Amino acid sequence: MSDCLLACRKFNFMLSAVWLFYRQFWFFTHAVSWGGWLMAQVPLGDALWMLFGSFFWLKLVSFGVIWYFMHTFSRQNYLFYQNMGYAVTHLFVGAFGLDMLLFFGGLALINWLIHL
Amino acid sequence: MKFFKSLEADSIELAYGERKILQSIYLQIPLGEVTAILGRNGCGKSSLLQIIFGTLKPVFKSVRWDGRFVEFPYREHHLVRYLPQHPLTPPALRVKDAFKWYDSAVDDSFGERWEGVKNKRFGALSGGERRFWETLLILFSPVQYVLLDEPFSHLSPIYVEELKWLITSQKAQKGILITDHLYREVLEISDQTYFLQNGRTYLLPDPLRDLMDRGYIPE
Repeated sequence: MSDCLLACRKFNFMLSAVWLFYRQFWFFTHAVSWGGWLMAQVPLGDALWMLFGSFFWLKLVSFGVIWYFMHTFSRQNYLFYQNMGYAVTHLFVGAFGLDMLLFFGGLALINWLIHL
Repeated sequence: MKFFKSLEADSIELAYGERKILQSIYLQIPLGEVTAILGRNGCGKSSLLQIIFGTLKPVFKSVRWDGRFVEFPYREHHLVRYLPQHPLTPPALRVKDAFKWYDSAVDDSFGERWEGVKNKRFGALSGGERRFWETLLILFSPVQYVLLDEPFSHLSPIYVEELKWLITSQKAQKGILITDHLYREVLEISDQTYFLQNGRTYLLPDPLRDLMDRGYIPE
C-alpha cells in the first residue's frame, strides 16, 4: 500500500513538473494547433478523424521548433528540472502528451457541446 | 536512502573540436568536507561540474560514488544538485514554490527575511538576492552532494559572509564542491583545494603559495 502511495505521489510530482515545464510554451503550440484547425475549416466528428494524422504531425513539428529554440538559446533553463531528477527527453515527451491531451480534449469537448 | 561517503571523478576527457578542455582530471570529494576547484576563466571548471552532475557528455568520464559508476547522477534520488553560474529558477516562479519543489527547508533563523521574500517571484528579486536564495535552494536540498558554481557572484560582502557560514554549517551533512573567483573566501571555507590548469587538476597542499606559484594570484 505504501509503495503504491509513493508511486502515486511520484507520478503526481512528475506531472506537476511537466506542467511547469509545459507552461513556458503552451501558448505557442496551442496557437499553431488551433490556427491549423481554423485553416482546415473547423473540422469536427468524422472530418476531424480524417485529419488526425495531419494535426499530429503539425504538433510534432511545432514541438521540434520549440526543442530547437530551447536547445539553442536557453539550454540552461533545463537545469531547474534536471536538479529535480528529470531528463530533458522525458520533459518533452510528457509535455507533448499533455499538449495532445489538451488539444484533442478541447476538440472533443467542442464536438460534444455542438451535438448536445 | 543509501549514503555515499565519497565521490571520485577521473579519466575525464572533454574536447571541442581540436581543442582539449579537460584531459587529466582527478578529484575526490568526501562527504562532510568542502572541496574547492580554482582556475582561470575558461579553464573548464563549469564544464567539469556539469560532467560530474551528468548533464554534459564528455568523450570519456569516470564519475564514481563509493566506487560505483553512475552515468547520470542527477537522475539518482537525493544524490546531487547543481547551482549553475547563471540564474537557475524560472523568473515567474515564487521563492516559496521553488523551495517546495526542491523539498528544501529554510530554518527559523531566516524569520522575517524569509517572510519578506517567500511570496516574491525570482524575476522580481535583485541579482544578488536572487543568487543568494538560489544558492540556499541548492544548499538546503535534501541531497548528499552539492556542486556550487560561483555562488558568491553578485553578492554583497555581508551576503558573502553569511553564505560562507551557511556552507560551513551544511558540510556536516553533505559533500560540497565549490568554485568561485573570490579565492580568499573559497580558501577560508574549503578543506581541500584543487587547481585546474591546462585541462589537469592539481591538489594544492599549500593553497595560497601554490596559487601564486601557478600564476593564478599575484605574488
